[in-house]
Amino acid sequence: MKLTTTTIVTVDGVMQGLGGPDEDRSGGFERGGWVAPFWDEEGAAFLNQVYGRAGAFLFGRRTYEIFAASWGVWQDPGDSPIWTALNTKPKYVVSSTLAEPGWASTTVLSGDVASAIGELKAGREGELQVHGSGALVRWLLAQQLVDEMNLIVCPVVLGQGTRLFPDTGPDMALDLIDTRSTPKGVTIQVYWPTGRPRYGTASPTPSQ
Amino acid sequence: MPTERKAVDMRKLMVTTFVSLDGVMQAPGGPEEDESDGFAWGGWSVNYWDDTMGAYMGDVMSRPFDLLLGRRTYDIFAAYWPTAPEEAGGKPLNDATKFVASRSRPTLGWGPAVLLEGDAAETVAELKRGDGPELQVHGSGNLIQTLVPAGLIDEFRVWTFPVLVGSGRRLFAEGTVPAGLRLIDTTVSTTGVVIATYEPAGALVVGTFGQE
Repeated sequence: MKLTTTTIVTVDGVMQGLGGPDEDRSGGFERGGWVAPFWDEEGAAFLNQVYGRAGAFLFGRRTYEIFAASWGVWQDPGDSPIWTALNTKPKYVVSSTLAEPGWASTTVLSGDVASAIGELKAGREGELQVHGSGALVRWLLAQQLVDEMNLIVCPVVLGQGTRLFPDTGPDMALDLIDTRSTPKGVTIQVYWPTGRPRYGTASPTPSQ
Repeated sequence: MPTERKAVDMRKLMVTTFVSLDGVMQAPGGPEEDESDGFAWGGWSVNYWDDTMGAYMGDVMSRPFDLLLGRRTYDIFAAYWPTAPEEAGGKPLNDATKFVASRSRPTLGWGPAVLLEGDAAETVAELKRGDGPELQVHGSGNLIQTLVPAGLIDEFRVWTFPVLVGSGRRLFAEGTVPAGLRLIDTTVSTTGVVIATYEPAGALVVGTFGQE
């Protein structure tokens, strides 16, 4: 399976608490719920397509609990590829503390997580999808386990909150595979990591 | 009752910034461009330049403008552009009035240049109320850290390069005033650089997203 990450971020790279003010107040975060004004049919269509390709899901513990308490308890609306995928595909959650996950079809991964993910990637059809799960995505990037990154960038600056990319992380070059923007000003970019960047020196073109 | 001058009468302040995918704006052009805070990854932007980006930058440079620069970017430009008048961008950059924000009193040998002394948020606000063409900020990471929270920027042109740098000074630092933006335009280079143009769009709006 190809491991793909899908992250909704602000222009300043924050991913915390997108869905509502009370979704994730950790660290004193007070600006949750920033995605709502920008959600439109094209953004939803992109996300529906992504979920439609899912073979299994891989979550960090915090995102798993948010999803389990929302998508996991909502009734089947009958027309949501997201609901159908999340409630019918296998789910894996990386956690050393979660003992009894409450959402059906969930397996807890602990211990040698890298090997477990390697086995998952080797053995199945479809995508192994990570949604949200910032700490997990940062770890996967550092382990070079990410095959594709979907970034959904909302036109807002928060100035607060957990960012997708840490202050100190690996350097990495990527290929831009696809890009589009929605009527509400969301840009969607798809990247494939390709290895270390090449650094160089240029004459100072006007923005350097 | 005093009438305030309308924003529409003020000089527009446009910022062009090269950022990495992880939001770093430090030293895009070379290893020695800005090594502050021990930054060792300068030069991350240079392998992505293409004709699309050149044409886009040429368009930005083709209309009347003055430059508003931090001292470090001014020094980098001043060391190069007087020697390259024939290069793309050379003439407009050499001709533009350079307003330089600095807390010290540097010698501004690359003219025409005007030193902005004192608090940059105040001096730039004053500059915007005066007459003249568009004000363009290029690079100038420290200055931008003052302009963003002061709400002085009318247009962001954010060039996002397909690279994670892993550390370094960011365009939007922790503590930036929250704000909505309006996406005006996107241009994509053949090398994977996404140039997004944003305008400020008022205060942050939040809501709850979920099943209806």
